Amino acid sequence: MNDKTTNDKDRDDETMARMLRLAGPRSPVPDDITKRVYARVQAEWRSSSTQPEGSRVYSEVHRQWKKDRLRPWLRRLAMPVALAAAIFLAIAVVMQPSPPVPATAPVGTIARFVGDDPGGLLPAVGDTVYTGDRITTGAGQGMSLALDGAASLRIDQLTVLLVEAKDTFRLLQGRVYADTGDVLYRDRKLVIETSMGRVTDVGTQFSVRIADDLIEVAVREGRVDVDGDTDIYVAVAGERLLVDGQSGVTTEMLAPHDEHWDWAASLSPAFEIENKSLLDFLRWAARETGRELVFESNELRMSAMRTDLHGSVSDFDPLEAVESVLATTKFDVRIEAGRIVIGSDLRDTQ
Amino acid sequence: MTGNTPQIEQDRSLARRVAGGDQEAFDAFFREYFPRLFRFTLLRVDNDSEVAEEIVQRTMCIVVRKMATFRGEALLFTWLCQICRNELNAVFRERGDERRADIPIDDHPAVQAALESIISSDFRPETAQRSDEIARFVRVTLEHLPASYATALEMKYVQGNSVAEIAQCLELSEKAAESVLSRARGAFKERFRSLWDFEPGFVVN
Repeated sequence: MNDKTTNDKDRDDETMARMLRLAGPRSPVPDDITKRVYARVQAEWRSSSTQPEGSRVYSEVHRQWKKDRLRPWLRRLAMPVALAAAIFLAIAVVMQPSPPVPATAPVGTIARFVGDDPGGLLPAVGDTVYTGDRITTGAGQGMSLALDGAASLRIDQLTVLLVEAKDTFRLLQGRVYADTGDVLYRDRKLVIETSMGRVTDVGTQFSVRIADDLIEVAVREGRVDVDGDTDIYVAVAGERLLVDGQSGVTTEMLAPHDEHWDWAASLSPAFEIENKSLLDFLRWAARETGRELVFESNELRMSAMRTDLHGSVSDFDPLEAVESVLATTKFDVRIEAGRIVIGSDLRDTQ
Repeated sequence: MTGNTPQIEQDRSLARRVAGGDQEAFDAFFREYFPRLFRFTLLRVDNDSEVAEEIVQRTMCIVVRKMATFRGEALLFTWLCQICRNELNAVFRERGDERRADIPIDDHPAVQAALESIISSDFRPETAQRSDEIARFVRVTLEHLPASYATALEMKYVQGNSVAEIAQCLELSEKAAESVLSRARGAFKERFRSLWDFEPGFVVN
């Protein structure tokens, strides 16, 4: 290193030292804030990282698949027959190539199920759904599917849905609702195929229903593209698009809090409130019900942020959950058309 | 910061472990990024720690949910900052606040003015306002460095600690602390320049 380079470097270092001294020490982060944020972020992390994913899910599903197919044989056949069959199978396995493993991939898990399922034919909460599955709901039944990346797909009663790929579902009958999350953070599109065209979300809350010669696409937030046989239609938030094979296309207005969406809210995956802040819970409820969350003051908002929740609201729909949770706090709630308004409960001061 | 593994590789590895449910990795992630992100946010909300807390909490909750999608196309902190800016805007909107956080830092009038004052020949460091602006630049730069680098620089040049004391604080040997300090100096200058396309040497007059 020559003298000039050394001098330049020293000069740079001295400049940097002066600037650092000028800036002074960085402000410390208060311990109480660190502890609060740590607890909330950790709770969020735990609830999001407990969902199985990728190959781990596939292994579990495949193991279960094999087990489910072996058990009936073992139950029905007597031991000698089973032994003979085993010998025969062993020979067959040696002589023939291995049967192909089903080409499936995990898509998500069942997050909620409503209605009766006396025959136990439908998947239960926590079960994994994977490509190739065909989901059929009967009268009074419905379920929601938690997809990777925090997206949610809700399946109404009397619906038949085929899981074609991780992001592609074929709606054969009935109605589905998709919430693909905040448009800023979504990393993929969701496609609903129907006999009358392909519905692709641009973001982020919408429903698709088919009946006879009709497809209905309603958009609560964001936008979807409907790629029909001959035309492409676009539906944006607050619109309901009806494509009828007989009478053409019509568009109607549909508010995000319209009761049209109530069935989807009733299937919303339960919000795990343990160690979450009241503010996060209210934001979730507002989004699920298509309403704006309004606080009467910023002090109330900050207070909601610092209020920790405990317990469970898994049996309630979002608005019932809000009323139930707030009944135990100093906050007051008014459910208005299009708004959830949070005030302070004056009874405390009377 | 460990060894000579590129930061991007370390970030990918940390993200994978956090996404996989590794508690130790989660703690390391929080220790490394929470204080930096908090100070990054404080600078953008007029030092309102309540608002900063809300925004940082929202940001980190989004990040831990989406950690499996981190591909390392940018540094983890850069990704955090981008999400943080989005959340700043969302919170300002929800609060009915007129402020907007989506103005790039180098487009901010105060930053522009400070940049011009630094580069121009009539810069006078004793001018309090300008000093404040430079101090703000420096703090932003520090928050863009790995936590151990920022700590080492602050201990050395602001608090006047010896290398031995820095080594003790960072739980390193003295030799390793010297190496960290050397890398920290280089990273500070490089980051300062890349943030504002500016040579620190111009300040000295």
